[in-house]
Order: sequence, then structure tokens, then C-alpha cells
Amino acid sequence: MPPKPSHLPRPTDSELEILTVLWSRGPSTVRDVHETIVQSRPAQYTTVLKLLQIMAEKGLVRRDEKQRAHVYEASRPREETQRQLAGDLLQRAFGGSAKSLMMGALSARKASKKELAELKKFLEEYEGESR
Amino acid sequence: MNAIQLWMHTPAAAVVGWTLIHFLWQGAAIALLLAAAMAVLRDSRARYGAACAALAAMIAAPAITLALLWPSAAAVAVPLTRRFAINWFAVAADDAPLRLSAPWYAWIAPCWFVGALAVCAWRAAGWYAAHGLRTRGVCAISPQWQSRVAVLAGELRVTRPVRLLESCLAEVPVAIGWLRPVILLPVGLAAGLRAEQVEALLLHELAHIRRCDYLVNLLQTAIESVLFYHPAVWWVSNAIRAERENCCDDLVVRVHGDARAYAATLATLETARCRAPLPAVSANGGRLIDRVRRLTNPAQSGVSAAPVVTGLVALATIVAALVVWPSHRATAATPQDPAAPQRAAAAQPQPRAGKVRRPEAVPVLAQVGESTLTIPERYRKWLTQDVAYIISDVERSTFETLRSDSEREHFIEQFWERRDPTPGTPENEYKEEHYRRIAYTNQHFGAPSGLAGWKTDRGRIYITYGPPDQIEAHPNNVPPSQQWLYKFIEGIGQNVIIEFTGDDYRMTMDPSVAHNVFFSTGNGPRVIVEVQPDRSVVISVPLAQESSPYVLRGDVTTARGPIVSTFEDVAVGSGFKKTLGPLQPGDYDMQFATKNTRGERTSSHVTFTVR
Repeated sequence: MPPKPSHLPRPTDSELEILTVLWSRGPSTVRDVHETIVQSRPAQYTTVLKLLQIMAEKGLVRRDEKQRAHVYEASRPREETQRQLAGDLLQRAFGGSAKSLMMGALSARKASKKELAELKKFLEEYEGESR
Repeated sequence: MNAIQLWMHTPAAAVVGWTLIHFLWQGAAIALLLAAAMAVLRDSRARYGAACAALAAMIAAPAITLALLWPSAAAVAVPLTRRFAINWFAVAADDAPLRLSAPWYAWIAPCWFVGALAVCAWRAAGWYAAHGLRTRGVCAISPQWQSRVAVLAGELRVTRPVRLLESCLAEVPVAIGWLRPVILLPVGLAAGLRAEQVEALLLHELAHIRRCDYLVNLLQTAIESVLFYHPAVWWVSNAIRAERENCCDDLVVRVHGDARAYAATLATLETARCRAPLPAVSANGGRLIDRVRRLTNPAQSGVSAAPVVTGLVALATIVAALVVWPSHRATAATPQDPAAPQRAAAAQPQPRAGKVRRPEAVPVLAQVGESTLTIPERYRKWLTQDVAYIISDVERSTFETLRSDSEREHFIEQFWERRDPTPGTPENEYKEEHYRRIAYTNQHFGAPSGLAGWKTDRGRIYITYGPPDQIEAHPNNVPPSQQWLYKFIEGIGQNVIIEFTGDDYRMTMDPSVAHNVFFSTGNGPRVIVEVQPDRSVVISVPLAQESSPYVLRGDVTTARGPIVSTFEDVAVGSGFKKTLGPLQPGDYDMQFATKNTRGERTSSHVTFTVR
């Protein structure tokens, strides 16, 4: 019986890569996962298969055996894993420092409630105009 | 400990201490000047330039102060150093701690040193963590988006190769790296948004890359770390970060067109993001609401006051220097403000984003279906003959949206430049080889029916994949046939054999048919149609995680009109997938409509081909 989601172990880096593929593509066969991974780095099909089997044992992924090719699916939503990883001591200490080195269209800080309300008001106006 | 105490008594420590003290008023003065400049400047690039110049002045000021104070220290340095050595031995010999009464300012240098070291270590760890994101928890994004990024990069004239990856750790789209830049999109973001929204985000990140913001940010971070104790430094640094985003916003609007649509995209993303319960992290960059206000309120960007400001800033600098100089000469020489020329340069009048804005909003992908009839003959020939086999779908649709010949010329130039294996040299080997292949096919593969060589199957394969590694010809068989062997074709595989038979050498099976993916246009969620090798058709609609239940309806018709298939379904949560049984070869159309529980409707449209 797989462990409860709340007590799932932290995924290793290679497991995290596979989870990313699964979150990105949705339920996938080993072949699908392997095809996506080799786009960015060389990887053996058997390595991916072995990793997925280990992850299924750990409970990180669910395996659907109804079809001929087994279909794997991440057992938790991305947000939960991200929260788990963000909870790391290291991440907490250096997150702020790292964030100021990354640049993006949305700032690392979320909008406050008041700002959100104004954004929503703007959106309503905008949609009203374009209709 | 004794070593530090002794070092505190050297003139060098005193000079460093005084330099740091002097920076208190110098930093404040520079920040005040910047605040005055910011009050008048409107153009984002001028504001950014002014803020950068202010930060440069902030690091130059202590350097100059140090240089000016040093000679007086050096004069007494020799005897002191000798005394230092003697004292050191004395301490070691009789083990009696020296009681040297240090003046208060002697403590400043060591305290600053320890603090700067700590901030540097914190920054270095942050840099390490940020770079980890480039490789940790990432996966390749669909080739369609990868090639779209290449096109957009071309539009923005980004010369470095940009990698686009999906990341499960990035919360928002980010660009990291200078020489080998990477754009990370949060997993599922591209699938959950409309194409033009993703494009707007990608353009913003590409704008960062084109402006070398990462490098400037690193330098800026280094200055912040050294002068960490002065709040003015942090204030200027944050001003740079905010203006940097504004500059990128302006660049996006210039390329993409509609400022309000772009602002709406940002606002939509932010409101969607705030629904996800994730821990909030420290503030950096401008507040989004300010950026949305700026984008949607052109009245704010009034007449450029750059020349006036240049004069004012220069005058203020001179006055400040004259007032401050005599009063401080007694304790330390004052550096002249080195920012004045730089700031003047930054404040030069620059073309404002608003003036070059395209008159109407043209979301690039929204115009895919538009006919190519409006394109002048010369360019239509380029599109449908010269590069028919090598241009990607996104490039084609981009080209079709271009309005003027100069835009088209520019596109064609960029098109070849992107493919040049040796950029920077006058020769473009790729382009030469391509036209050589076309000439070859016309010479050798012309069909008895009069079909031009490049239009034949053999011509198409030859132009697309180059000369085969081996040809096995049976011209005397009935019907005649040829088999071409390619040892490797990228994206298809190894030892690919392609067979042509008949008098006109028709291909028996297209090697690239295995990967046929089509995307929707329209205001609805992105619909992906994949044609499988067995001619069955997989229709999938990735939806954002939080989306409420949708009713989906699709009508598939042939290009001539009869309905082939109709389906209706309810999608909840992360997406929808449906397979239609094998279809006859031909062109198809699908109208796709959604309705959610709030009664909001969308519609989109896909054209696809089954071969």
C-alpha cells in the first residue's frame, strides 16, 4: 500500500524531472516520458522505466495498468510538491536572494488584496470594452 | 582578535572608515538627485538610464574618496607599519595584551567588512540557487513553442540562442542567464493560456535577454552587497528593477501592438496566480498594478522633458559639489560627482514607445487563417516556392500577418540568419545549400507530366533532408522504383528508407507523417489536434488547473463542408482528450466551442490535414 500523500518522501532531482514531465503532459506512458526527456539530455529508456517503477513504489506516481502500456500519473499536484520543496531551510534562507537574480513579467511578490481588487476592476472594464 | 585590533590602528583602516562615513552623505545626495530626475523623466529608458547612472555614481563615489584620502595615509604608513610589526612581536613574546584605545571610527571598517562578507555570501548562495533552477525540475517544452521562441527572438533581434523549458519550481515565468539564457515557464502555464498570452510573456522575457538585464542585475547586486549599509543604495537598486520591467513592457508593446491587451494578460495571470496558495516571498521589481496603470494610461507619458532635466541635473551636481567641497576638505577630500556626464547621456531624448506603436492590435497567431492573396507576388513566391518545405507553421503565419514590404524583407533576412550555421560571416551556407538543392531537383527530378522537379515527391524529400546517403535505383522494373537511404534524419530516426515508385516516382510513405500536430486559433482554450500514423486523430484541450467545469462541443467537417464527426463532453479539472477513429486522407476543419458554468462562451478553430 502506498504511503499517505502527506508523508511522501522528497523527490530526488531525477525524480523531480520526471514529475515535471508528468505535470506538463498529464498521464503518460514510459515512452512519452522518455521522449520528452531526451529532448533536453541523453537518457536511457530503461533508466526512465526503472525510475518510474521506484517512484510508483514510493508513492510519488500512480500507475494505471488497465491499458497495455502502463500509464503513469503524478500522485500529487505540483503546488503541493513545490510547497514541500520551498519549505526547505536552504530555500527559505536564500529564496529572496535568488529571486532578485531572476527576471520575469510577474514579480516574485504577489499582489496585495487591494491591488488585486484594482486589477480585477481593470480587467472587467477591459472586457467590457472589447465586447 | 589581536590582529584585527592592531589593523584597526593602521591608517588604512581609518581611511576605509572615513570613506564609508562620507558615503553616507554622498549616497543620500545621489539618491536625492535621482529622485529629482525621476520626478521629471517619463520615458522608461531614460528613467532606467538615470537610475543605473546613479548606482554607478554610488560605487564611484567611495572609490574616488578612497583615492583622495589615501596619500595622507600613505605618508604615515611606513613608520606605522614598522610599529605594527614590533607590537605584533611584543604581543607574541610577553603575552600581555596591548591596550590600545581605538577611536570610534576605527570600528567601522571591520564591522563593514564582516557585514559585506555576509551579504556577499547570501547573494552567492542565491545565485547558486537561481542557477540550479536551470537544470533542476525542468523538462523540454513542445517543439512548437521552442520554434515560436526562436521566431520571437528574431523579431526582437536577440542574437544568443534561447532555451525554453518548463519548470516545476518556478512560480512565474523567468529568464535566467546571460551568455546561455534560459526561459523557464511554470509547468502547464503554456497549455493553460491562450497563445497570444504566452507570447506576450515570452516577449517580456526575451526583452530581458536582449537588454542583457541579467548581467546588469549581477553588477547591481554586487554594488548592493558592497554598500549594503546605505538604504539609498537599496532604494536606487529597486528603482532600477522597477524601471527595467517598464522598459521590457514597452518593448513588448512595440512588437506586439496592443498595450491594453498586454496589460489585461498580466492582470489575468496575476489574479489567477493569487488564487494558488503558495508562500509569498520578498518583494522585488515594480508593483504589477503600477505597471498596468502605466501601460493603460498613456496620458502619464507626457512630453519628454529630457533636455531640461539634463541641464537641471548637471547644474544641481555642480552646485552640490561646490557647496560640499570646502566644508569637507578639512577631514577628507570630496569626490566630484562622476555621474553627471553619464546621467546627461542617459537623459538624452529617445524615441518614445508610444510613437512607434502599431496602430491596431495584431495578435500574431490570431491571423493564421488569413489568405495569402494580399501578399505581393514576389513574396508569395518566396513563401510558397522558395522556402515552402522548410518554413515552420508559426513562421508562415507570422509572415502572412506582415503588412509592409520592408517588414517582409526584414523577416526574410532574419529567416536565413536564424538558420546560418556560421552567423557573423557574410556567407550563409544554409541558404546556399538550400538553393543548390532546389536547382538540383529541377534539373534531375522533373516529372513526365511536366511537374517541376522541386514539386515532386523526390524533390520535396531532397530539399527537406538533403542528398540521401545511398540510392538503390531500379529504372527497368515495371513500375520503376527507387529507394533512398538516409543514415539519420533528425526528429525521425536512423536508417530511414524512403521508397518512390511509378513513372512519376511517387513516395509510398511520408517519413514525417508520424508527427502531425495542429493548434487552434480563436479566443478559446488552446486545442491541440494530433494526427496519428494510423490516421486516427487525438483532440486534446489542456485546461488550467483551477478552471471550472466546461461543456465542450466540436464539429469536424471536411474542407468541402460535410460533417464528419460531432462530439460534446464535459471537462473538469486539468483537461480533455478525445480520439476520433481513423479519417480518410484530406483537409479537415474543426469548430470548437466551450461554455463554462458561468455561461461564458469561447470558440476556436483548427484546420488540419490527414495524409
